[in-house]
Formats: sequence, C-alpha cells, structure tokens
Amino acid sequence: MNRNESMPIIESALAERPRNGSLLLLSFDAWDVPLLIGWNQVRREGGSLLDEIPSTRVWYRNNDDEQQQILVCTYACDSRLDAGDALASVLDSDQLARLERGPKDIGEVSFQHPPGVAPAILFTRANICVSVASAGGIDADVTSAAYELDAGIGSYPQKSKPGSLSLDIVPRTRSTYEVLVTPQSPPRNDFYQFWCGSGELSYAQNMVQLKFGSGERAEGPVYVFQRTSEPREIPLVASALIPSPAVGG
Amino acid sequence: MPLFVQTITFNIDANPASSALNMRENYANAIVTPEYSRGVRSEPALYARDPVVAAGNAVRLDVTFTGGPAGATVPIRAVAAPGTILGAIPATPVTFDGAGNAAIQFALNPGWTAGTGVTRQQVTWTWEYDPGGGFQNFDTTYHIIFVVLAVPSAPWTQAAGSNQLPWASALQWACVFANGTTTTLAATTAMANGINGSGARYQTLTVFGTVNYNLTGFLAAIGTAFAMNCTDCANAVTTLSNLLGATTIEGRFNNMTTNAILGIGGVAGTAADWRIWNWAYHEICWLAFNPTSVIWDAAARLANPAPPANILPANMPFTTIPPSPADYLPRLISAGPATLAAAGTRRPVV
Repeated sequence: MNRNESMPIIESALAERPRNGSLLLLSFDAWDVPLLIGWNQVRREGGSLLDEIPSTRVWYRNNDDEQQQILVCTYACDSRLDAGDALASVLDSDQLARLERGPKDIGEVSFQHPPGVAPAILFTRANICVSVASAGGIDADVTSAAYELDAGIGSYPQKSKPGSLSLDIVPRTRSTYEVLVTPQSPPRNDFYQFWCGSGELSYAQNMVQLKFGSGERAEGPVYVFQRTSEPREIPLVASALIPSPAVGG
Repeated sequence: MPLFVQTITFNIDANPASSALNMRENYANAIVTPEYSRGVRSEPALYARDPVVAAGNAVRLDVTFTGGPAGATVPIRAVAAPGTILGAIPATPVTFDGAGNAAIQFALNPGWTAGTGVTRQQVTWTWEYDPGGGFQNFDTTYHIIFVVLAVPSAPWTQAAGSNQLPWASALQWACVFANGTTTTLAATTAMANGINGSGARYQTLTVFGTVNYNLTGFLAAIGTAFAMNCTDCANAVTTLSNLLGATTIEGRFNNMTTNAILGIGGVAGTAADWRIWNWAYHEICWLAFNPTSVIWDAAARLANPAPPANILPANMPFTTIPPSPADYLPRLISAGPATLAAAGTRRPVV
C-alpha cells in the first residue's frame, strides 16, 4: 500500500491525542511483552530492518499446530508521529494496493489484510509500530495476538525488583520540557515507560521531551517505569509543568 | 612425538586465482585463519572457479607440521579419493627444523575447468610421508570446501573484517539449490526454483526486511513452515545467486492487476490457489534493472498457457521489442502501468 495513500489516513487518526494521556517507551523489545497463551516463542531477532529504526522480530509457533506461525515485528520510534511514519513504511512493504482499516480498539491507528489474504494487522500504540502477521504454512488468527500486544504495550509493569531511577524535569522553552532520567539507558532486556496525563512525550537527541500545544495546560504528574524494577512512580507537582512566560523562548 | 599436520591455511592472500576467498561463518561470527588447526577447529574454505581456471589452476595452501624428523628433509603428500574437488597434494620435499617443526606452501592442481559447477564437498586428505622405503600414512584431515563460479558480488564483499563477507551458512543453502550449475544464469535459475520450492507460503507483507535483508532469519526459516512475499523472494534469489558469482539486482515495478497466478507455496491443481491480485508493487530479480532485461520471479508461477499448467519465470525477458506474449510482463499482469522504480538495489545482509 503506497505511502501517499496510507499517510493521510494515519495522520488524520493520530491528529487526535489519546484521551488517556501520553505514553512513551524506550528500549522496547517485543519479547518483553507477555502474550499469546498457546503460542511458543521460537525465535527472536534484533536489528534494524526499516530505515535504521530499532526493531525486534519474534516468531511464535502454535503449540497445537506447528504449521501456524505468527511473526511480530515492533519498531521503536522516537514519537507517536514517527511511529505513524514507520507504519506507512511497513505498509509500503506490503504488496497489496489497499488494506482495510483495522479494529478501532487496536492501537491508535490500525490496518489489516482483507479476508482471503494471509492475515496481518499493523498498528501503532504510543511511539511503537507493530505488525502481526501470519507467517506459517497455514493461516493463523492474528487478531487476538494484536489485542494482547496492544494491551501489553500500554500496561504498566508488574515485576517487582529494586531499581534505582531518578527523574528530573527541566524547562527548555515555554512549551517544551526535558525529562531527565538516571540511568539514561535501561539495562539489557529492560525498558522504560513514560506516562503523562497531558502533553506529548517524545524522544529527541537522547532526551525525553514533554511538549504542550498552544493553549494546553499541564495536568497531572509524569511517571517513569522500569519494567524489571519496582515501579517507581515519581510524581511531579502540576504547577511545575505549567508553561511559564518566564521560561525560555 | 608423532608427526602431525598442525595447521592448514587455505586463505593465504587476496588473490582469488591462487587462494581461498575471505569468508565468515555468518553475520555474527568470523572465520579465522588458519582454517584448520589440529584439535581446535576445521573451518570451511571458499574458492571462485573462474579466476582459478583463468590463472591455470595454481591454487596454493600453507601447511605446518609438528613431530617430524628433526633436521631432516622428507617428501610429504596427501592422498584424496577420486573426484575430490581440490585434488591430491603432490609429494613435496619438506624440511624440518631441530624441533621437528616445518612450514611449507603446497601447490595444488585441482583440475577445475570452466565446466566445473557450484560445489560443496567434504574433502578428506590422507597425509603420507616417506622416511625412506616408501610412503607411510601419518594423519588424516577433513575440510568443507565450497566452489562458486566467480568472486561473490554485492551485497557480498571481500573487504577484510566486513560482515558482508560471504557466509558459510548461506553457502550451505546456495550450494543445495544450485548444486552443479556451471553458469551464473543457470545458477540463478536453479536458485529461483529452489526458493520457490523451499516450502514457503505467500504472504503479501514483507517478512525479511526492505532496508536490510534479514538473511539470518531466512536461513533459520528454511525447512520450517514460513511465509514470504515478492521482496523476500527477490532478496533470496539475488543475494544467494550473487554469492555464487552472479551479478543480479532486485528491482520493483509499481501498480498493477495481475492475471491469475500461483503464489509461492500454492498448489497448481487447486483452483483457489490461482489468484488475481491488485498490487501496489511487485519485486523480482533482474539481470540488469531495465525493461528488456531477463528476470527471475520466485514468488509466483504463471499460467502456461492456462492453469494448472504453469511456468516459473526464470531467465525470462521482462519485455522484448517488439513485445511478445511470451514475455514476463504480459503473462503476469492484465492491467496497470507497472512502472519501473527509479533504481534497483542489492540489500545488505543482516
């Protein structure tokens, strides 16, 4: 599906921010997401297969039928808009001239193969672009896997292990803040989840940024989670996030 | 201490006329020289037929020995079974130092010709020396030898240290699919047939990458139930053929409606497997990326002239001047511009 056909749909869908706040995941790996009861993870591959975007690929085989395989590819982008751009690139690698819109409750925008074609669902959630494709000898249902993955991306970590995170928010301009996290890079097989009730989280120049649009008002705290550590909710007082004319340009 | 072959170096220098080529095990792991080290390793070696034949079959290799007769010179040879790709090693005087060690460069006569085909062979050399009174067996060594038709072309390189050096893991399959082929055109056709019959099933979404080619993943998938689309097939045919010395290239053409075609993995006798597709693009392997080049398409078989009779497009003209109904394009599509992309590509392997 050509980018010039998919991109207007994606941009339109992402123009509206999620009602439940902004989510950003760093160092996200697909295999960190617990999913797919009845499926066995048979292979996982890291690397960069799409415009240098860090990607992970995980193959699952059905426990009851080895002919059924699902390939899950995730692309960890710098922002939700970048994830939309990655989705257009993935769609560009699909031979089909047109894909259908996916279920409305999967991702922030999703597409799927029409009936009669080897199943696939492609979607974005926060800054993550995901494709879930039947990739075995016979068709496999990918819808339930897509739901599980989507829920897994948005869920907060449950593991309990002492961690050592600190969080600081530094205003840079009237509408942009930098979110400083220590340590900067999560350990291997770990990732950070950032969540804020308002604004737009993104990753740029090795920094997590929180931006507010014109007329927006900061509400609520920013949280950072480290998956394999005790969730440390580091609330920031709302007043600290309200853009001030006195700060920067 | 008994006499032993201590090391054998096949990749002695950068000259493909007399030396094995630079190669690696796979994306992650390099192959070090000497390829054979007694009790430590026996790595494969890769030769390119054409430069060796052109230079008069003067392959050389470096061998070291331990445990020989101190200060003596004795003839050493290696006997091989008939048909061994590297041939036997002729008897050559070897002089040992006071500690019984020796190093020598042997000249081989593999006897290759322009008719020698793509080969993967386990070579067994029975080493003999003559202390006076006749040759005696003192050691046996085993080696995996690959022979390709010419020095591998892009994305493969001979740049030392590159992870794009020819991979032994890829040569294993390339030599299965194109075993015995003697020309690069025949090797590419065999590759297209091999990929089409690899057990993969058609999926319209690219599985193994569009910027880089996830050859590691493809090699791991062969032999399992897996799926590929046209880009994956073009990647496989082009990359593995070029590993054998071809110079093919992957290229797209855009926007078309196909005739009823049999996607990879389809069953010719099953009517439902003959499908008409509306494609945003199709990608195939080209000899050169232009409209009159011959092409290979491992992703789809075409009706010949009607299902279930079919043909795999291999070494088939994309179009000819004047156009012919036997050309690939009119057999593949019924409508659409099928506009060629601006350029072809040879994707780096990962």
